[in-house]
Amino acid sequence: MRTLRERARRVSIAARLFLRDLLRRRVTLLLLFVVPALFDAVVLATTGHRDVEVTLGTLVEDGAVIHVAGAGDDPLDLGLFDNGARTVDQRGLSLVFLGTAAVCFLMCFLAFNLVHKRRDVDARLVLAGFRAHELLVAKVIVLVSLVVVMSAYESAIIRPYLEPRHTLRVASGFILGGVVYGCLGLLVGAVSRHELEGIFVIVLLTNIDVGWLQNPIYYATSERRALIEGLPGHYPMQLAITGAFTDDVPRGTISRSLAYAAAALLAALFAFGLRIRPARRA
Amino acid sequence: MSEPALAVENVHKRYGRRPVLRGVTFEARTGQLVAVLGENGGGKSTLLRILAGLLAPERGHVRRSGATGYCPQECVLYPQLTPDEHLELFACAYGLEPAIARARADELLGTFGFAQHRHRVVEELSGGTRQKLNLSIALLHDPPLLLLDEPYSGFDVETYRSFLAYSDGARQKGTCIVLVTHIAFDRHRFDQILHLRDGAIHADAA
Repeated sequence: MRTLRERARRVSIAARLFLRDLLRRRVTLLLLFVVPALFDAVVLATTGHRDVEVTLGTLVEDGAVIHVAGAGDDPLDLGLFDNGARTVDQRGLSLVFLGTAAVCFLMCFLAFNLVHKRRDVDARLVLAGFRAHELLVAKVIVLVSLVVVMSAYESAIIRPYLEPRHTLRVASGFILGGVVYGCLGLLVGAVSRHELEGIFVIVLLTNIDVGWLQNPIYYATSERRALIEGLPGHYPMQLAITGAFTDDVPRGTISRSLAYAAAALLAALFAFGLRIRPARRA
Repeated sequence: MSEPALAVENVHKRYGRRPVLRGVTFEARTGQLVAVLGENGGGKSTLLRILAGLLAPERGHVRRSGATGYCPQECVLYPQLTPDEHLELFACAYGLEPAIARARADELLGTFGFAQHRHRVVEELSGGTRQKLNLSIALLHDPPLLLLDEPYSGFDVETYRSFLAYSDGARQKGTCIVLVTHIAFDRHRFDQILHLRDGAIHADAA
């Protein structure tokens, strides 16, 4: 029976070597550093400074009437409850929105790679004596480390163009988005039989969720806000945006994001274990 | 007579409707070198994967008396890790003490002549060098049972001779080696030659 200390040593060795394996792939470094900068460059090139009205869903209080931008004031709205409406700079909003989207997409993709591309050799490691959960924990350590680095990088590169009200909350939004989508990427990697189907799922999910529906401009006019609020990217995006433009503290963003991540991680552990465990331990 | 190192009893395996193994039964004892021959697509690798525990048979039993070292036919490696890093990772998996693992790694790198490549990532190595690493991983923990699927594919003559010398030394220590190959060189070296034909074993007394 291995001690906790021995298990921790094994996991740390695996994590260190998995990180090396990942970072030595040139395309990884390219993705991590070039893609976010490219996204931001496109925003800066195509978006100007102008005020836009948005609705931040996590600031909407129970009983509030959601204000739709451009629809005029609702006579029934007595203004007793916060309806989530805020006026923000469009360029700044785009930087935070696409920054969150970039971190989510890239971490999902990297997590998928961590699990899917090395399945055979991971199975060989399990046959040799590692436990499937030890390998997955090692991969989660790699993932979280990269999430923190990427989030710090994204926060740094938008800083010259946007002074957030609360930098730490914006970075936390990036981190939570990376963690949630990273865990989803682990799950997709564990479940997908073929690489192409996994990439397709990742591209579809991230584009629809954090690339489109989580845009707060879109939220106000949506007839299915509950659906948007139920998607994995909602709370991280809300934390980042409210942190950039308001002093308000959005409800439940951290706990709900972590709940999403935990559910995805548990499912990934189950699927990963099924895929790579030996038929019979030696 | 000693307990067999490997006992295989009535193993059946099919892929979909196609039966691949039909009632494979044999034993291999400590210190024996056993060859499993057969045509391409005859089920040799499937049999070895079952013996190693990677696949479950539909019916039948496999009993192994101790730890196993398995070398797959294809090189199953992390492309961006070096031989040193692979051996460190697998030593950790096997539960080897770091000092023993380092000594063993040095020994295998020297025996198979690829120490000069120990710090180069697998992606940059030749096919033969990758196969040396692939085999070394199976031998690292010096197990009593070795299951090797075409282990010297891509080896030059010198490395092949090194492998033969290594296997002779291992057998003297009591290691049982089951070797899958589709061509039997040096038939006199084998204690048993098993022909896998139509999913069943046909023995060929060496």
